[in-house]
Amino acid sequence: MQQRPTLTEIDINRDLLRPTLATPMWFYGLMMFLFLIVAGALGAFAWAINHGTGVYGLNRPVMWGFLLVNFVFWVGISHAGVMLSAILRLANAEWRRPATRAAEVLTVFALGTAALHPLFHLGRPWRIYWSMPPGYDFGRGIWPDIRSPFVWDPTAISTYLTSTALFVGLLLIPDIAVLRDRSSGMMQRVYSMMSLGWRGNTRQWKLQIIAGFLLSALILPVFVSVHSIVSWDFAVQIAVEGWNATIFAPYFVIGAVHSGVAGVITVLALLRWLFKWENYIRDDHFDALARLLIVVAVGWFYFFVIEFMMGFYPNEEPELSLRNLQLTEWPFNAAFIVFALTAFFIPVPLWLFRKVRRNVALMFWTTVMVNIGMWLERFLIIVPSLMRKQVLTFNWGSYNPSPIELILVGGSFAMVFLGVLTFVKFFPIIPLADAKEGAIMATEIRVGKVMVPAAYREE
Amino acid sequence: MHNGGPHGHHVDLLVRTSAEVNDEVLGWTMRTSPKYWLLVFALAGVTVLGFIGFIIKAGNDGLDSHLPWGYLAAGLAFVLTTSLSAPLVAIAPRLAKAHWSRPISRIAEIWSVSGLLVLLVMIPLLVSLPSADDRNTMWFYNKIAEGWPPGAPHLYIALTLIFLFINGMGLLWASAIPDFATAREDASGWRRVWYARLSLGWVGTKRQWRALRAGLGVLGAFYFMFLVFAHTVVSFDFSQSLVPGQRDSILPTWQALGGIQSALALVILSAFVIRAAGGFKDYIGVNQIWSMAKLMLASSLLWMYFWWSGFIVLWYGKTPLQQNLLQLMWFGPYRTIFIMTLIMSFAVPLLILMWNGARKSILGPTIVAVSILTGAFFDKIRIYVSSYSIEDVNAHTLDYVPAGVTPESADIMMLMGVVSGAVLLFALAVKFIPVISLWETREGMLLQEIRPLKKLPLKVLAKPE
Repeated sequence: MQQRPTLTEIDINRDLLRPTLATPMWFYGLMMFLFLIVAGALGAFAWAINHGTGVYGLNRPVMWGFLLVNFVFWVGISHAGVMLSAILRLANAEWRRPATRAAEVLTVFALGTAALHPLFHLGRPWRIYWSMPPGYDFGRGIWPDIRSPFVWDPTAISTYLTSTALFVGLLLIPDIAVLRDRSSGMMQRVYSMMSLGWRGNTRQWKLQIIAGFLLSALILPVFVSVHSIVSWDFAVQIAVEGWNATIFAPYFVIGAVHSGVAGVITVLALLRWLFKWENYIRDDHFDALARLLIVVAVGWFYFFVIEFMMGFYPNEEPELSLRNLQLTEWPFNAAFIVFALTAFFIPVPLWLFRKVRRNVALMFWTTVMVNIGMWLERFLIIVPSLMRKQVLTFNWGSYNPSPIELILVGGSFAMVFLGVLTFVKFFPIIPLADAKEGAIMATEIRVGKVMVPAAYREE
Repeated sequence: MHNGGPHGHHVDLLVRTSAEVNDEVLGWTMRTSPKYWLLVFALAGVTVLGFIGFIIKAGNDGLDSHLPWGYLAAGLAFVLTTSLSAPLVAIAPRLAKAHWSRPISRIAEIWSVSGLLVLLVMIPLLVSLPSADDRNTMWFYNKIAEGWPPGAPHLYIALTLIFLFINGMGLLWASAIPDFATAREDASGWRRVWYARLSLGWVGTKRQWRALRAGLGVLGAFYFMFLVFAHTVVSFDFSQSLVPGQRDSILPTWQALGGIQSALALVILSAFVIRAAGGFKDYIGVNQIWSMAKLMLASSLLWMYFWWSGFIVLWYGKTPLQQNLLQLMWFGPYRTIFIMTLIMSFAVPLLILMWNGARKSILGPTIVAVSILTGAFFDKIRIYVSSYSIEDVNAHTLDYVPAGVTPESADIMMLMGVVSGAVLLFALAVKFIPVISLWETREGMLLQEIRPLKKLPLKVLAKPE
């Protein structure tokens, strides 16, 4: 049965604003715990700045390690926001309502965290200045190579971050107005300023809806471009075996969507448990998201098979030895098995069962599993390829992550969750306006003796 | 029909009784006019012309070499990417429980009959295809053990296309069973006998409906997988593996995506024709065309994105092999065809469908559909004719760019025959299988209503489990 609890506007305001207006004590405890981990990671970064990049496990020829793997991973997670929010908004999917803002917020914090990784990796973070337009030294005839994906990368990521933040902010305005009317003191002044004089009149709603649709459509090319450009960091390098593949851009994008949607489900399950939002994040929503994930996962798997098969197709020794390394040599063989099982072979068959799709605990663990697999996928793409002797390198190499890198990777997870929790402290993570609209639009149609759940549809 | 509301607001909803739906659709299915037979004979004539073209070509050039058969391979790929991909337009919305696709789902499924033509065209192509010895194929022939896997690649191409055809026919039959049962009650003579046989004793029990829905889900999922695999196999074995050194991993996925784009275009075009020819304007309305147009726009943008993703890697690499591949595929002898493809498959869809007024109309998406189908036709010629022009398929790398191959009159006859043959099979099928799914349309009428919400009439859509 589809669940349809009857919710009034008062219920929706009370339940969804509870974490913001009546924050429980455990919430602060959790934030403090995450903050300590983040502080530890920042300490590790300070250590790396002080001692130089020698504290990382990087060496010649493996110059990209865990930090770059983690960078790709978080950029991937950030794809959930647009995928769920913009595409499902344009498609008018009713079940998107409780998931959209969580997805958008996850995007913002995941992308912000991803953007820190090149800084970690550089070791001297201030040098990033020279890759930004203000740092271009035209005066001395030093021009940036605009043909380099390393120039495209910061442009794409900063555009995506800006547009997603704008998207979140715009769609948040009606909810901030509700908060403004329920808060006092300094917070009321802040909310008042952020709500831009929202009164909820017809003209304001019309503008807000049009702007939401326009931004949804405009943000889509940015969303696709970001991970495509990240993929071209690898794919345009002809000297590294396994990277110079034409399929990389869409393969990375669909992998990112797989990873990102799984991440949103994980966050939704956590929110439902933490704030007891069973009436808002319902089993139906997990069911629909899991169906979407099946389609995405199967598509991703097709791309993966084609990409992996292409390694064998030309029957050339360097490429075959790379696949041999990935498949047969420790620890990559173990990583490969775990990757294949967790990213596809365990979760996808499980999601075919309705009972699994509607079981929040199972959805939580299977989606966590997907992201373990997808992290390993990035690791298997980056590290083994660099370990082989290449045309432009002179030796074979190996790579062992240093404790500093491990702390930074762990810290990045705490950083994203701390960011999401901070957002929850100040803003509703489930859109109030969307929840109310969903309640108004929900209805039923009688077919024979049965009442079938239905919804009004504006065209 | 349009149901008027205040402020010029209107919503589309079919208003008919079940009996009216049955009468209107079955009446058209079982009635043939002189114009229809004229069309059938004209199509049959062009198809025969194609067969004559094949005989001439085979007589002149024989089937020993792959070189003369590029245009026929392009014809096969075109039918695969259009007619055989069309059932996806029924499968995907059905899985997503979308209501808009109900009146057009059968049109999409009926196109799977053209698989018969693909099987016929496949035979000479398999005979002329070079052996897998000493060259790369997706089957890794001889790479693991001598002579293994047996029959590669010919056997596996044939099996893929045969299974795709069987799956498509199974899907069409399964989805039409309740309609055959309805037609059985109305028909007489040979039709009654065949409808009775094909309806498999359908009386519409709860158990039969449950089995039908499960069957459609499974057959649809398998068709989708077979189709993607068929695109992969055809693009590898009839194109990529004939070009020494080519390692274009995006090609199969790009071809599969092109299949989705062309499938939407073909269903829009055929829905437009059926709508006009059968007087089904109340069944196939703006809602159906608009819904497909949105997907067509999205797939056109993705089509361009996939092309660009592949292109930039080759262009950036700039190795001699990559430069030769760029010349062979895009900027050399087939440059004009490539530019035409870009315009037809990307620029025209974008420039027209970006406007909601054009998207939400009957004519706009139809014009775009014609453009996309023309673009797909050029695209297949570019990909397959250029690949078939490589003489030494066993070479290690592509160290020269062969001259372009212009079509002979026999090639043109064959291409016309292939396209006409596919349309002929469709035209014959629509006069036997109800071209609008009766049961899906009737079910859709139960699950959709127009109700006022704050005085504004809106469509209400029910989604049963």
